[in-house]
Amino acid sequence: MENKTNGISKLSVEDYSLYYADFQALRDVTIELPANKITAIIGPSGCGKSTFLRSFNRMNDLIPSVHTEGKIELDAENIHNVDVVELRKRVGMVFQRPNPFPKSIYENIAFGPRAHGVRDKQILNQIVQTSLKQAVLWDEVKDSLNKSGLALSGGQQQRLCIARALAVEPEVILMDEPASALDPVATLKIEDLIQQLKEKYTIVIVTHNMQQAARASDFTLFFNMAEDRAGYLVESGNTIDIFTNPKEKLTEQYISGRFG
Amino acid sequence: MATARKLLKYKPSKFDYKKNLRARNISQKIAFGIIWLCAAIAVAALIAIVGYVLINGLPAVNLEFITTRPAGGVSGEGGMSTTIVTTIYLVIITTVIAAPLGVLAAVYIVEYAEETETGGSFIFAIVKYARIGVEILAGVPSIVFGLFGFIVFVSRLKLNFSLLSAGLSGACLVLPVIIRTTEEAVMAVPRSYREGSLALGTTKWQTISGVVLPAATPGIVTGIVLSIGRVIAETAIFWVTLGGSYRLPRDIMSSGRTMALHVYSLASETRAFDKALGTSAILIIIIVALNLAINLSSRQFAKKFSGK
Amino acid sequence: MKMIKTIDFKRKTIRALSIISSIVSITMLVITILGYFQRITLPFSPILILIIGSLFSILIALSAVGLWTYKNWARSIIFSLAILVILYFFITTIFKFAVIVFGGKEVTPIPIILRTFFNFFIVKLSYKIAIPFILILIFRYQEEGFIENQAQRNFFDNSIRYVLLLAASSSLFIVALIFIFTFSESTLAIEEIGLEEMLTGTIWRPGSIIGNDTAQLGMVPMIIGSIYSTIGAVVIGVPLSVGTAILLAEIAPQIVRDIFRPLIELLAGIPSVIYGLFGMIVLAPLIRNFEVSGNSGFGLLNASIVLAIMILPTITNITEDALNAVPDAYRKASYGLGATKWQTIRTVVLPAARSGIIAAIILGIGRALGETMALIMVIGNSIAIPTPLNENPFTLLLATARTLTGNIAVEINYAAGAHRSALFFTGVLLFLLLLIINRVAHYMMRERKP
Repeated sequence: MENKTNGISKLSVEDYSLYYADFQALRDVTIELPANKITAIIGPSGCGKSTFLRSFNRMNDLIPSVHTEGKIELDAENIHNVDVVELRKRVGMVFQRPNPFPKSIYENIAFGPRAHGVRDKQILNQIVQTSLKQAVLWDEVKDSLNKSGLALSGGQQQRLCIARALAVEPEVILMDEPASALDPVATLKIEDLIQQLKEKYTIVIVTHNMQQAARASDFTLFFNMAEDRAGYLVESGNTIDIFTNPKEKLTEQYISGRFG
Repeated sequence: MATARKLLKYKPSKFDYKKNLRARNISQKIAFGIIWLCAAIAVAALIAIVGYVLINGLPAVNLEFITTRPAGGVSGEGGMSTTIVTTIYLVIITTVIAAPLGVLAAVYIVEYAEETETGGSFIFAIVKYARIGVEILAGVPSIVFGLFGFIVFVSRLKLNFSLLSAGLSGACLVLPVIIRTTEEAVMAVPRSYREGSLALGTTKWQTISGVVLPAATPGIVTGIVLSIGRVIAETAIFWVTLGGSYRLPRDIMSSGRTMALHVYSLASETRAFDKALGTSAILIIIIVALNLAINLSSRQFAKKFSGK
Repeated sequence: MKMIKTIDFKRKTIRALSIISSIVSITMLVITILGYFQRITLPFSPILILIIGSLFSILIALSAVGLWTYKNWARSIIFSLAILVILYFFITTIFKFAVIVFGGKEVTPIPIILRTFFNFFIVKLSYKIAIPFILILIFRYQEEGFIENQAQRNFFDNSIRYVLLLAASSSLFIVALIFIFTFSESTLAIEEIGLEEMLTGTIWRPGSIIGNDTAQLGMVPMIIGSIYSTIGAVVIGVPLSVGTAILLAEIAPQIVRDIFRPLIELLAGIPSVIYGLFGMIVLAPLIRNFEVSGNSGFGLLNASIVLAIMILPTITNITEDALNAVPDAYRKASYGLGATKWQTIRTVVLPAARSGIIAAIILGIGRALGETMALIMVIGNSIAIPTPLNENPFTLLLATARTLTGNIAVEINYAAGAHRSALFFTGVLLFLLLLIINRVAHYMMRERKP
């Protein structure tokens, strides 16, 4: 597999395979993801996209039957050698369904920094404000920070989750189909938000929505499911190249909607 | 050919469907009547008991009754002031011992026990059986807890008949209740909360203490209130560990008498049935209030968590 | 600039506290040693002083060291200690207050209550909790002065695992303790009197009552008493509870369900002594109406009725769960074939829920066997094997008896030696019996799952 990166690679994956007990979910993935760019991961259902995404912050470690081969590096450091809590601080995640805590908006965002030792009220206020502004939610909630996070609309909740992830100052943000549970208007807002975040963060986003991948990302990975239901990387490259001039036949078929 | 002729000789008897249906409906009416009767008897028994106690007991309850100390002895004179205070003391001591222990135990059973499957050490493997321990503990009759408390706390540890002995024994009694309800409450917390917290870079305990336990609090509180109700209603276990003094306990090592024990003493040692009924009436009111509190609060908390 | 200055000041305070803590720690150690060797008099036993005193001084010493380097865990330790101290003073004040208010024959009148409240809680308490309170305030507002890093947090996370493990093993630990201690207390009886005599002997006359050495401790009368009362409870209670459960699960409209269910729950929470009282005051006179000589109104009939009402909620609840667990598809299939509701219940639902219902009944039996106080009040407590009062076998119900549980409760307070040991043996028996019953019931409930 060729990989084209312009610039430094933030995350590098080498011969990575993942097994749920005896079942192989990912096979020999090798790729380098560029820094400060948006990387989209596309592919049919069940091909391991989310599993691959969750490998970057070792969320798969939570499942007892999982074991892996190969290595993943963040800034050239093997993520298994780094303290997993530190890793997750540097690699944040936004989930498919918004999952704000049953706390106030303020507490939702302050939870992360507090857990990392920040106690000064003033600093916390600052963090909350900055995160909400970055997530384009500040103007809507600035007068009601004590309201429960669950009382917001779906789109607002997702932006709250993004703000929450931003509050711990990550370097990479992983997003697992962040807009799939939202209506089109909210989706657009999230997409704009992601474009703005690109400057400061490296973003990896799994999406089912090919139009979204085509217009929003810089770099694309196309995964497919093999006969034995293991996921593998078919093709990767700049988004423009993938969508206008795909090298692999499978890629072309998927993009033109012939399967998946 | 022979078989065909045999078959043709077979004539189905006329089946009166309407008559059969009528018969079945009648038997249904009878059966349902009996069932309604059973339920009615059950509810009537409850109403009879509660009603009798309240109707005959409340007249004996007045300010003097509540604020006077029992006089002791065979006369059954006096009130029940010290028993109320003793009951409160006992409830607090039992809850303070059992609640943290039970909550932490349940947290372990739910959150950590699965890790024992992936080759934990021997100690962790034992805790897989913690659930069985809770099951067994839940089935022990209260008099056996009394014997246990008697021999361990009163006798061996030389704590004598005291609030402490009774509190420790009572804590053993209600521990399974708290563990079970906390277990349920913690398991009901959606996985997405835990994942969301861990993805922020928190340790497991930070996730549990910061997100899971606060979310599970309504269930935990329900369990604690249930255990309080249990302590107030129990007699056998405290009969053997608390002693029977009608005086006010001066400190945690003094003996005393709970309201339920007072009812027993009045009923079996004196003829003062009116006072016994009076104390029982107050007991019933407290239990009803607790039940109501549980029902109302669980509805309230459910609303709070849906965010509306 | 200003922020750095304030942190500097806060840090200086913390260092000062560190020094003070080390001084306190040393003083405490000295007091502990003096108190243990009873050079000075303290209001607790020497062993207690040694344990608590050394524990506290070690903790405070550790915190002093930690505070010097602004560690956050040191702050947590001192914070918790301060809270504990405040709680201790609070509790002792409450006790003293209660003694003044409630200790006499009558509760003191309200003005005196208010005055005492003011005196105790506002004045005296404030003295005692002043220091810890100030400490707590300092620590609350000095939060930023402390540092901690991820390694410490991870260490804490790892160690709390063991604390939780300890808590979780408490249930097993308590079960083991119960078994060990009750069993060891009963070995005396097993040695001196023997299993055979206890389990098959029909006379219960402990030596400590009639004052001679030959104690006869045969438990058969109590065993029979328990069995008979349980059978009576089951005969009366099972039809009532199963019927109620069927009503609630299958037949009743929602309104009825909403009323009956809380009522049944209420039944479960009522203290057992009240049931006993009811049996004494209401049932006994009613039963005495049967004109049979020797009928005291107390006895097996009284006990069976009271017990039946007590096990009703247990059986009803579990039976209802079992009925609700039967898939609706079964019922629909039966209706589709033209069966009436009762037919459906009788031929489809009840058989499908059979193991659950049996489990419910078994649990109800367990509950009946374990009940103590209510039975003591209504069953008569005679030590003989219950027999019919005259030629009519039904008068067996009017005979008085004693249960295994009642035996323990009534005699434990003055039993000694082998007698007491025999009562513990009864306890062991009950423990094991209930264990088996619960296991069987749980097995039956699990068997239901297809």
